[in-house]
Amino acid sequence: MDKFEKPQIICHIEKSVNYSLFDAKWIPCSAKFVVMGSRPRGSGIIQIYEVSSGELNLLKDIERSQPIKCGTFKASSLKDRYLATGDFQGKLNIYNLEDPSIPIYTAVAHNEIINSIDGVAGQSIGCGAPELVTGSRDGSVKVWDPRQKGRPVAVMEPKEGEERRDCWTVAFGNSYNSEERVVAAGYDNGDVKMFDLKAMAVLWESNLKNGVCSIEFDRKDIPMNKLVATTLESKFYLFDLKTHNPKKGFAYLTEKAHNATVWLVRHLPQNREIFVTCGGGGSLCLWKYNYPEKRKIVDAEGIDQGVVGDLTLLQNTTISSQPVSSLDWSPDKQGLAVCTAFDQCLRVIITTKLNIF
Amino acid sequence: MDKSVLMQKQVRDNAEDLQKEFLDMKNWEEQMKHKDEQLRKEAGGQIVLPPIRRKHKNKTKNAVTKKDESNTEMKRIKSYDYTAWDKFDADKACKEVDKEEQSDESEDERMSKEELKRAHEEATKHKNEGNIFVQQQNWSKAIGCYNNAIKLFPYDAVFYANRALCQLKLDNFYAAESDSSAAIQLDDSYVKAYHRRATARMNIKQYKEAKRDLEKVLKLEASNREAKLLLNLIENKLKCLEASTTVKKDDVQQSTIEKEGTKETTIEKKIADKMWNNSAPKVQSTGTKDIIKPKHMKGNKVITNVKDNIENKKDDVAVTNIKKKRDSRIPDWLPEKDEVTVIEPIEKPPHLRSKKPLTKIPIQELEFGIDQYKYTNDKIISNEGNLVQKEDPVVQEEEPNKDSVQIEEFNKKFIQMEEQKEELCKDPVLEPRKENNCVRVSQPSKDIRFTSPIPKTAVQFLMNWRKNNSLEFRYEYLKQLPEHSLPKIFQDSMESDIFSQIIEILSIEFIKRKDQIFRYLKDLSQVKRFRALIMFITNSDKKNLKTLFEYCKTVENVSQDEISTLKDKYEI
Repeated sequence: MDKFEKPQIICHIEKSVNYSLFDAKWIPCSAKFVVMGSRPRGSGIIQIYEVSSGELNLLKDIERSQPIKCGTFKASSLKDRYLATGDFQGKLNIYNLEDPSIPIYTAVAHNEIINSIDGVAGQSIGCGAPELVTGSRDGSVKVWDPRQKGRPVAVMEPKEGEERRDCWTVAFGNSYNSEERVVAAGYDNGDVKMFDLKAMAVLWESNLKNGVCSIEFDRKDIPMNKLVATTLESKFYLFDLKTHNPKKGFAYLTEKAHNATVWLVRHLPQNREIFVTCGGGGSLCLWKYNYPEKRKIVDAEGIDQGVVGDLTLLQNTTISSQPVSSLDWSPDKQGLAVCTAFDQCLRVIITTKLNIF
Repeated sequence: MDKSVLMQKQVRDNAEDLQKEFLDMKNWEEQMKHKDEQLRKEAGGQIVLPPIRRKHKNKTKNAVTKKDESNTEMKRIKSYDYTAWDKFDADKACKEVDKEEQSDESEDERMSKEELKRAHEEATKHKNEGNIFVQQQNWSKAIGCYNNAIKLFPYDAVFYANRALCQLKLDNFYAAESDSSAAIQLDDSYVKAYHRRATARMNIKQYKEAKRDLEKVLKLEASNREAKLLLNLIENKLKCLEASTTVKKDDVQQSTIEKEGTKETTIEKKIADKMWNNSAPKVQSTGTKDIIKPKHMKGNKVITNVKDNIENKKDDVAVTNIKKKRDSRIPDWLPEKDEVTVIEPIEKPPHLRSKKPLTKIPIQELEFGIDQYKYTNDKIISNEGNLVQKEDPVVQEEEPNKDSVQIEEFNKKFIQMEEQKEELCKDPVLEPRKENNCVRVSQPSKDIRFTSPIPKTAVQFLMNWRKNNSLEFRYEYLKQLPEHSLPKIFQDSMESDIFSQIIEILSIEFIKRKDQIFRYLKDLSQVKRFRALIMFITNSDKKNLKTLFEYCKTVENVSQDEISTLKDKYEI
């Protein structure tokens, strides 16, 4: 009986395309989304679709010379809604989707592919300057301010001579006022690093044993609360970031899921305790985090120590035969999401009953 | 039964939910379309954004001030508008300007507070490292650590005081004194710093100052036994000194000059300058401090170098003003005019003069503490503390003069020394001491070559480079640079004349000595703006470069590939 009271994940629209999809993002404040990918001949493509009465209308088709790996709207205001993308060559471009022929901002950000991009403070007021962060195979993480041409405002990379690990994922967080801001980065060797952009120093680092595929704070614009990092070998980690113990670090829990690489984690914009993880087998798992009674305790030495809660699996569905490479919750409608998979299909999915949590 | 009914109900509910959801979806789509349209039409106002991160803050600030300037220009009163100028309140305007400047500064400070805090933490790490070295009695390494700490955070008295301790242990008393002074400047109730300064000052024979420091220590910490002991020692020394002044006049002279501190030395210098301008059109100037012998010296026999005086008088413009008792060249305002003696320059006929060439004493300023102990050549005196010893023989040689017995012999020596003294005058015993500078004096010797320390910035490089034009020197200077250091030193401030000079040195001196050249060529090619430099290269440089490459190929046996890639870079 319980089974039927759970939220359902339903594939609302499915559309097959003739190129590889890497990323999909909703255009804020609209029923449209963009998908980014690579044509078989090695050029890049951006397409804009509109959801209209159960169908997808292709609005725009933009060809680029380089395949596009990732994109975000997070660093641009609602008025502009500029798309920032990272491509296979390491270039960071920002497009005005009204006139996408020439990027309005371009920078040679990295020597190699930009694996991940994230933005912050585009739409929220009082959370500091809008900034982008890019993570690349060349091992560096760079922070960009679109007002500054050509140069990053902050670079985090291994010292000269040290081994450069492939950075797979980056995320902003802790941006609750105009000064505080944190960048989290996950690397292929399992390293997770958190950089404090205010102090320009590494805030925390850890190793999760397996390559970190995706990392996300539950919210960007609050004092950091939770962080989820997904790894290879079907495991993901949830850190409670409220309390940092100098010896034990952050309290965390691990969870096994998908029986394959956990490719992605995305928190629901309307409810930060709910997030979805996407697996290598094309499965989606919907999770809810339950806080413990007390979020921190005082340990034997009198130092605060965080306490982690537990996770409930709300739903587990398989929507594709191939890994789900990206998923984006609509910021405007609860439960609506678009996802892309390596079977060259993009899907609009609806999750029901999310309002009861 | 029940279960199946419930299940049916659930399935039906779910289907209904879905239907609802789809309907909702449709409504939402329309709603969003509407919203989207509205957003597009909206030409929303500019939101005030925080400035761009880090150093770019300054840039934005500049932009703002520029705008302000343009505004004020609009309001600017025209020069012919007299009524407006009458109303113009200059004081107020001045105040406003001041205020602006102040507010700017405070803003800067506020912004850098966190950076300072961080720098302090970093510096403290270095200090702790240094403390470990101190425990191991590895003084010079400890000094290195403290240097780093001070470089990062120059506002902590502890760093200076600790470094002073190390300097004391290494017998660098002048450095120790200046470090303790720096510590005291930052924290005027720092007992250890006073104590260390007292020790240092005692060792450089500044007993009175040392005594003052110790009194301060006892004031701050009345029960400090060490300070009491040291104070007793110093008082004894002072007594001894007074007793022995008649015997060891030179020592006293030395210490009095030092004791009189910076003020009086400058006065003396002025006097000296004046006098020499008056009296010695022909004669070369001798060391200033030997001219006037202050009152403190008891039993100072007045020396009159009769012969020379007579000669001098012929030339001297001020001769007419001479009173019999007092030398005219001693100004009236000098407090001790009556017992001051003037040592005259010595005029000798050319055939009696020494035939030995005068040798120059190179004096260099070095960055404090860096490579200070690298120079082991025993003829180079490696710190200021020893400077006094260096001067002693010079002064002692003067003694015959006072007895006015061996004047002739002295004169011979004196001329030889003239040049040396001229150089010595410049040294820090007479001049106000500058911190962080260490002056090194060497005795003349042909085989000592002075290589400047390895530069860290382009400015340092250029200063040293331009100091000496000789190819020899420049060769040595380039030779000591470690590999890959050129691009780091120059960053983007390599200039084309320096570039071509380096190439010249490489092609002349290096080839002559069969030294490695390829690494320099490689380093040069990695300097920023290298391409621009190559564009403006002269033909002679090109020729030089070609010979250099030829040399690399034949003598250094660098592989053809490497040479050709580098050649491409040099566009040859």
